[in-house]
Amino acid sequence: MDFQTFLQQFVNALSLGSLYALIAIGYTMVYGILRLINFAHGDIFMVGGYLAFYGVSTFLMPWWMAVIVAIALTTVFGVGLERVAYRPLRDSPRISIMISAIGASFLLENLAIVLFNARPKAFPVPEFFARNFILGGVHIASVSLIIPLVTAVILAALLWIVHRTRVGMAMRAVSTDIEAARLMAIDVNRIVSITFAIGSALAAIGGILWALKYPRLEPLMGIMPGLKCFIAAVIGGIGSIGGAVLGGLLLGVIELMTVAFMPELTGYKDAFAFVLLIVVLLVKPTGLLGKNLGEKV
Amino acid sequence: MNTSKKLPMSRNTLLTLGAAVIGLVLLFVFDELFDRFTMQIFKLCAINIILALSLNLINGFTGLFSLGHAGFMAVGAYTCAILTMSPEQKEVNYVIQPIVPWLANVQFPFLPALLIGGLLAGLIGWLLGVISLRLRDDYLAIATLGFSEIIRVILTNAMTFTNGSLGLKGLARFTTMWWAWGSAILTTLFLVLLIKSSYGRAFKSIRDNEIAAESMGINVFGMKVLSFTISSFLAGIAGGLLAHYLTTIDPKQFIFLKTFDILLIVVLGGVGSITGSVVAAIVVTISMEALRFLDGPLNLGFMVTSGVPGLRMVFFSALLMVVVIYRQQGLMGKAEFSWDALSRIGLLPRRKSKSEKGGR
Amino acid sequence: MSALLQTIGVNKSFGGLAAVTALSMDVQPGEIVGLIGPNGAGKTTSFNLITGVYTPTSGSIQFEGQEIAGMKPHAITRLGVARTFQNIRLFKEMSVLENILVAQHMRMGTNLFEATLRLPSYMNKERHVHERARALLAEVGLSEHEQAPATSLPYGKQRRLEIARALATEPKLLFLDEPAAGMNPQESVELMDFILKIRDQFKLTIVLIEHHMQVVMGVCKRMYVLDYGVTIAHGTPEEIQKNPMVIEAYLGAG
Repeated sequence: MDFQTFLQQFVNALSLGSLYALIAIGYTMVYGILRLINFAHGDIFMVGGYLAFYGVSTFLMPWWMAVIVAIALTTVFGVGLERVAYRPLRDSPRISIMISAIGASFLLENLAIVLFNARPKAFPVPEFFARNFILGGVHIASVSLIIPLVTAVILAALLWIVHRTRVGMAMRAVSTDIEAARLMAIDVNRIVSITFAIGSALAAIGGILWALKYPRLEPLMGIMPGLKCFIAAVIGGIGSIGGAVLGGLLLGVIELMTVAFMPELTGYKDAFAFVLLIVVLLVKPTGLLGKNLGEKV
Repeated sequence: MNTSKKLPMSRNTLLTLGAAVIGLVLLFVFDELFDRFTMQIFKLCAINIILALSLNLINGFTGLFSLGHAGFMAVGAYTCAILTMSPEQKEVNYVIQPIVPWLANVQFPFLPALLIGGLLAGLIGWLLGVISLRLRDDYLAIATLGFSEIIRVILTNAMTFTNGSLGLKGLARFTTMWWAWGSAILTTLFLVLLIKSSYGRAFKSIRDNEIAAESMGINVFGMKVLSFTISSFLAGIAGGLLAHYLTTIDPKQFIFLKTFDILLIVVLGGVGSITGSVVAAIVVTISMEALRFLDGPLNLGFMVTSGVPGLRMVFFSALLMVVVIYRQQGLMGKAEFSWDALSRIGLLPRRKSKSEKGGR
Repeated sequence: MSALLQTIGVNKSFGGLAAVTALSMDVQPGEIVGLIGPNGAGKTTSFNLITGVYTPTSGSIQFEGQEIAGMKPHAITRLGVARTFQNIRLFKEMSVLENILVAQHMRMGTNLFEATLRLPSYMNKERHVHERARALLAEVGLSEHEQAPATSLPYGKQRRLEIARALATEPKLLFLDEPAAGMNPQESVELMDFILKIRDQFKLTIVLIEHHMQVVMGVCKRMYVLDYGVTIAHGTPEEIQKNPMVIEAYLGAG
């Protein structure tokens, strides 16, 4: 492979990896607070994509307005989901809340089939995102540049929120010890809601960027990216925002580079993430940047 | 270990034998009476019983949250199907790439093929269990889900074994009602005996308090692997039955949504109840068919909707959530059916008390 | 006489934090040994190290001359070491009787085949473990609660059930983690008699962690005192009572 092809693949990998990272952050934040795999996260991602689609195609909004409305509605939706499906089970066994999350995911997928129709829809990509640059012989769609930028900005903003604001301090407190946080008069419900709001907004942004990159909407489109991004979060060390970004980038690079170097493995692409997950769990179960959460005897 | 043991044949034993006879007669009558479509649903009930029980063994009784069932089913289904296909059928099916030579001329009868499918699923389950059962809770869930997806991806790509995404068609309709229900009854019996044995107590102790179980001399890891292996074996058997029930299989059937279907049955029936799984498997399977009308045009009296495909599954996924949120124990909780329980709730006359029996 | 249990320079640290340092204790057959010290002194950690819940960072633990450091808890239990827990860990969803039955699984020597087929060989074993479980429950005075859910018992009885469950594993060495916790003085006195009784009846060696000095001084011939993971003293109760370092550890300097 010549250098140019390598560079091309690397740019693609960076863009896909940033997108994974963006969605993985949502998983990691929710997991950090509630110790819950939000199985429905991938479906919230799908909802975000569809809302933007309807904003543009049905309500004829300008695309920027459709994006804002879609993010806002998805955020409200995610917060609502937590209220309905997870909050009543907060003190139940972990298995129950996980089943509820699976149920929510299942329900959203089926609802999407009913409401949005199972047939794939073509996402209208604004001309601005579809533009192609050629830089040093490498083809770059502008969306591939925008994705890493968006991820970087959001990462910076989140790190600021988590480490420099009162809300962020409360989040860290809840994630360390929910009971102790409650005793310190932290409104745990509010913090959980805020976390879900941030996570859902990120999922919506991820869904829209995904649709700009792969302009095709399907009710089940959130499943695979959802799983992969959860895996990215685990690889990076669940609960750690930096870890989620690292895991997302790593996964994107490994997926695309492996296929680029070994085209005969293309069919197995969707299995890479899972193999990687199992290797990481066995070698370093806490992930690359994670902390140990053992049980006290 | 109650007093009734002293009787030559207790009322409960008689009732059980009676129920078994009635059951067999019913099966025979159904087999004669039902049309093909109804029979198909009836058979599917039996297959779902096996699936639900095997998932309940690992999730309900051993307390491990595994989401890999679809993968083990797929292993059983493919193994069994490939072994039963005649060389001619294989030639017809494998159009893009021929099957590997050493499998091309193999043909087994159904029973050995089914068992080999189960054993292979069990073997893979054992291997994956040894690898992953050090993990807990949600990590285990996501790892097992991962295994199931890896299995599916391999099935899609290993053209010379599985025919890839084209799947296998024209399998013999071996899964008669007797095969389906025979397997379901054997599985239920096996599970009842297992759970009521010392092994069952060991499994439940792990679910209850892993650290205490380990300190009481229970080889927790070994027991988890055992439970996982048995569960995978049973899932493989169900997969083989399913393959020869549907007569066509392809990798898409075994995406992890299939695991969710089974999980739905287990949760509705009661996580940790054999009775619950059996009843819920039958109820859910039948209502999935009965509610098929939801996907078609609906006459609501004031208006007629055009068909809304998917509405049926919306109903079931909403049901799953309602049950988890409002009635976590499902239908049965951890309780089991017993004749004595029927007397307690007044459906059977009460038994004589111990003192009255003492005269014997 | 060779020691039943001997630990030599056992260390355990969690992420650089030393929980137990150079633990060197020996326990002779038939002894009752006390392990005392302020909260957070590393007593329960020491139990966890010896029973295999934690693996020592370094050092050697020998039971009947065999190295057990790093072995799995169930394997150590098989050798004849049993324990109770500071925060009671009964099987909540099981009856009192079943709690005892689970602990006998290891010694039943059954296999999946005979157990699921209900072969006569299995039924004999099953009958035997039921008889033994009932005998143990009678021994600790819980016979009447046989079918009750384990956690429906009052606190004191739950502690006794935990001891009975540990005895069901047929131990030679029994670790009791704060058996008198939450008991009133009257119950504590009863507990002391109970501990001495089971020691003699089951030919046990006992190591116990306890805060009730009355209990420790009453039943232990020898004791070890831990503070910040370090063994600061050991000896007879009289020696310990007079040891200035122990007094300081408990009352604080000055």
